[in-house]
Amino acid sequence: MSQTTPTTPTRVGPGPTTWTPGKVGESDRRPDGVPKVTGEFEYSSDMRLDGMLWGATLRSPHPHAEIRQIDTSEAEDLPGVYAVLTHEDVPGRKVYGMEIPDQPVLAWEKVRYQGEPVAIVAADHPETARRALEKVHVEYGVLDPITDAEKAVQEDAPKLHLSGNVLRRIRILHGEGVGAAAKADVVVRGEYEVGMQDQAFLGPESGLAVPDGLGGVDLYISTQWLHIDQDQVAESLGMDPDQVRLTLSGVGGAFGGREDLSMQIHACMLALETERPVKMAYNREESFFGHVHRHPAKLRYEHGATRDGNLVYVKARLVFDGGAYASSSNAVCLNAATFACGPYEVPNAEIESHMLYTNNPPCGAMRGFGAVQACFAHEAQMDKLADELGLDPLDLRIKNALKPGDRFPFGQEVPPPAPVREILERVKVMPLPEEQEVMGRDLRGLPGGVSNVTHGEGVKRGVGYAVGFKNIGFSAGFDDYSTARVRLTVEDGEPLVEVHTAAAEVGQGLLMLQAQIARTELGVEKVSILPADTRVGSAGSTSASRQSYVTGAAVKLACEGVRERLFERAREELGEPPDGLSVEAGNVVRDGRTVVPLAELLDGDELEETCEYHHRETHPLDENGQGDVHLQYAFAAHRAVVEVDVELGLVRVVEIATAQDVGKIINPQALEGQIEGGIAQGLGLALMEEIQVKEGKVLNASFTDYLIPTILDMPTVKMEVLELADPEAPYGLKGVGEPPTIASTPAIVAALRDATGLELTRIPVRPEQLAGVSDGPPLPDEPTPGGAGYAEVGRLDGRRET
Amino acid sequence: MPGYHRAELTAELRVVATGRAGEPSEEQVEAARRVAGGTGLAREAGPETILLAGDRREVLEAAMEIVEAALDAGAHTVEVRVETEGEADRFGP
Amino acid sequence: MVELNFARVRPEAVMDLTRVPELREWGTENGRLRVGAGITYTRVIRELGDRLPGLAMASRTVGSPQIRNRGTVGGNLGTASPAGDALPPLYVSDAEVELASVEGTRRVPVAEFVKAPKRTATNPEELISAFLVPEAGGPQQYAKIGPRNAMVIAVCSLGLAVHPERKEVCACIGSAGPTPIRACEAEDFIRGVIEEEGLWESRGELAEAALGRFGELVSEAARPISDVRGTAAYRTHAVGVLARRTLGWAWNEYRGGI
Repeated sequence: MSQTTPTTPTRVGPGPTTWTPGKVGESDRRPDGVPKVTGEFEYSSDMRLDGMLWGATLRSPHPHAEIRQIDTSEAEDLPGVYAVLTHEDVPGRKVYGMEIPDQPVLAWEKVRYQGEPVAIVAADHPETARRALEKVHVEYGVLDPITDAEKAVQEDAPKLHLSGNVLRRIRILHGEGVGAAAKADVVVRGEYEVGMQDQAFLGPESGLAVPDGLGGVDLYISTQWLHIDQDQVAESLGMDPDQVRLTLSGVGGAFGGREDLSMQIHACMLALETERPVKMAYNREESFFGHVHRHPAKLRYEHGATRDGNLVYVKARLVFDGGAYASSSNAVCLNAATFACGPYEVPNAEIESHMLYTNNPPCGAMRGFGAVQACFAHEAQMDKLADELGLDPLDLRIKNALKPGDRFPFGQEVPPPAPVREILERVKVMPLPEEQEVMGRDLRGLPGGVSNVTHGEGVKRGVGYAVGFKNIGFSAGFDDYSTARVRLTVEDGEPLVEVHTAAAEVGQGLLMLQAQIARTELGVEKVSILPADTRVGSAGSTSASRQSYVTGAAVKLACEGVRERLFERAREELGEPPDGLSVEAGNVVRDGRTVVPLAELLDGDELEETCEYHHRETHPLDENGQGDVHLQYAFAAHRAVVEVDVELGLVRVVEIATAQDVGKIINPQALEGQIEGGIAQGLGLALMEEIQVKEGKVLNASFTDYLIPTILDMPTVKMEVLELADPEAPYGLKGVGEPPTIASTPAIVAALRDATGLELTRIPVRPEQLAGVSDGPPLPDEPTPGGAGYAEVGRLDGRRET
Repeated sequence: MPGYHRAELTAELRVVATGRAGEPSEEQVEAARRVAGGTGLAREAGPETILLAGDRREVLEAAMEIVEAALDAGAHTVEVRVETEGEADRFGP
Repeated sequence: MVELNFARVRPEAVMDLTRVPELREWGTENGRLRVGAGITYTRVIRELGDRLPGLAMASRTVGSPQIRNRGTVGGNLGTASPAGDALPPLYVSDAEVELASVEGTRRVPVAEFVKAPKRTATNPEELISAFLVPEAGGPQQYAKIGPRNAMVIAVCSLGLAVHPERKEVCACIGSAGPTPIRACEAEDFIRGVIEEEGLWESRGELAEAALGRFGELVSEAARPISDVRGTAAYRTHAVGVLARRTLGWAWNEYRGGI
């Protein structure tokens, strides 16, 4: 792929990061750790360039409306405004999308969700840009929104897209399906609901687009996948990918919320129109409208088992509200279907997974990707079944645990290792935390904390368990790969390895992993990780917990290539037979004895290898939902201990214990971070995180009312990690990012059920439900006095004159 | 995130105005959109632009159906642009 | 500042009051404390914790350490949100708000100062300069409900003060009505019970039934709405529980117990 060098003189964003990493298996201090804590790290929202303009986005206040007219003349006349653009100004394809290009860059005749972008402006000051938005006059014909996924499929429902409101339907038929019901002695049924969670990453959507003066543009951006952004941006700008070069800038978390485009095309359009660099950065409120959320779901389940606890069949109907546009809903629909039964041996199953369009906020990828919703339901069912059978909930799970050689409901054989039984047994024997005397306890150790709501009154303890699993990597026939370029040189007399990939570091520690692999494979202490950009081939997405596996394998492959050439050179120049050679501490060695230092062997030359690593083929599902669909599976079991003030419905999670199957620990400290972080998000979904939507409008687009766990909500986490190598993966590793967030939620809810005796079929669980005061989430009729009260998105209405 | 599967082929269709026939009538555009909706592959891709996305065979068949419907309704010119997804070999099976 | 952050307000000019030393001082005046409007929550906790325990408890529940270092009781008064944490403790101690202008100063009882959600008795040329409140004569409590264990806007709250010197128990509901609400019937009821049984002098136990009835009467005084933070039914229920518990704790403290 040819690359044109940009002529704009700029080194925007982080440069190469060079340090001496540990090897694979060692904890390493993050090179970006101290800068992030001291506030010196440059995130994408910190970037600036002289002469840059500020972009802003006008968004629809209505969840469903026709656009009758857009008048930009007044905005264009505002001093300080350099461009006002609408759909007419989109040079290339006017729609984009991860899977299906169905989402308008800028809306033309219809808006389908509250917050949909309609116009963009560029001005010399961010406040001027915001005021310019107010001067863009859009005439809307407001329509009734479709806000219920089940209603969306009814005959008389208006079609939100040309082909109707059904985005996807998946059906899995396994064994005799429901036909096996007669063999079951006991049947339990349940209906469950999962609310809309948000990724709530702390770094807002932001980036800087710099025109190169030759008709192309350089984009510095926070994202999860540079190349798919590049493709979509190039398509909509009507350019070759060569003309649109992306560089990853400092990313403040992602969790799936940065897979879809946000401001990428917008910033580039404004930059090319004004011929100036354009920066766009969303504020927190806009951020909630600027990215997709986790799919809310309604799940109806039926489990049948024999009297002694063997599962006979599972029937499941999963209905997902995909919101206004497709995003990655197709894949979520498939994923949820494949994980619907849980990590258990289920001889018969009938699973339906439906993904629907509505005028609710668009939903897409979020850590767990469909497995989260399914796990909440199937684990609730397993507890119900245990109760009905009079069996211990853990024993029931262990009895039915999946093992290598079994078949998933979609037909694939369970690959080794699959230590479901082992992780359950580990969690089973972990000692429970001691029950502390409630009276006289420090307030921070009680539900409600220093808010002083209980001194021990009403406090009951509960314990709950859950186990879940997740696929690692992309599936269903997708050619998933990553590219790595590794260069070995000598700098100041010392060997230096440069690693260049397009892999997005979003806070998970991929930077360290790449460097640790280079250090391990090439024995060189100094490693430089170059900024991720599109000058090297795609690394695939930072999602599906896949980067350690796929980019790790690419880096390893490229290092091995360089190493082979080193040994070749040693053979050519020194007559050393390549067998038995290895690299260690900057030298080529044999049997621990130095043969030649690398610096000497290289003698001023460079060795460079670029490798593409493609993982094993996977296959799509056929019309009965059968196929070898996933690459790798990772499993995690959780136990939650909670204390509930049963009169007030307030919760303190005392401890979460977990056992997770990781294949190989690459960096122990990073692994702990992933496990604790995943548990935090699982806790959030269990107790407090929900985007509340009424009539298609978001009620809580701020951290004031979209609550995420604080340090005082997080419990002690006890973790045990199983290292059972996956023979196909580099170093035997398994992806670790998602599994902790999947079963932690149902474990907490199970503990809440244990403490209160309540059924609790909906997450997040609210104090109202736990106190037995009312059902369901609260929904107001109007914005409330005393509430933060939200203006129309993109407009500042309700301003007071001062 | 598993299989996302960028469509193998996309087709953009538009009933267009010409010097001879003038602007396309409402019926012509509606006919195209109605048939497009029925194919299960269609989305809107711009003012009066229909986008089909899917496998090669199904997209080509659907495109033909839509063109025929528009012609039957009296359309004079239908613009069709078929594209293999630029990175289909990068992303697709 | 909250209004500015949410872009609800874009004033022409902003004046920094942290440079006015008088606003950041506190002292005594005729047996009452006069506390400058610019005194932060952190300072209330640290410097006034023993004299105004209820207000200090409420301050402790505000936001996070960073917010407590900047936020002030004066600001809480000026915002007059029904969820304002400083308000119930001021209500139950019959505090007064001092307003200053070039014309002079005036003082307004806090219950008259807060007129409606986000509306106060402040005239456009006036500044909240201080609040006046007697030192605690007896035990005080503040309890606040939030869906997580830190940094929450009150779903509902309760301020309570035992005044042995005037033989009164005062209770004020927060965030369950358009303004903070004194639970007058509940206060009358419990005052009656304590007097009848001579408990001020004997410091005897308050019966469970009396605590329960007190809680019920507080619930009845609430006039909450349902919103994103909670339902009206939950708020009504919760303030009753808080009332019962806080009275129990305060009375136990009065008895010399835990």
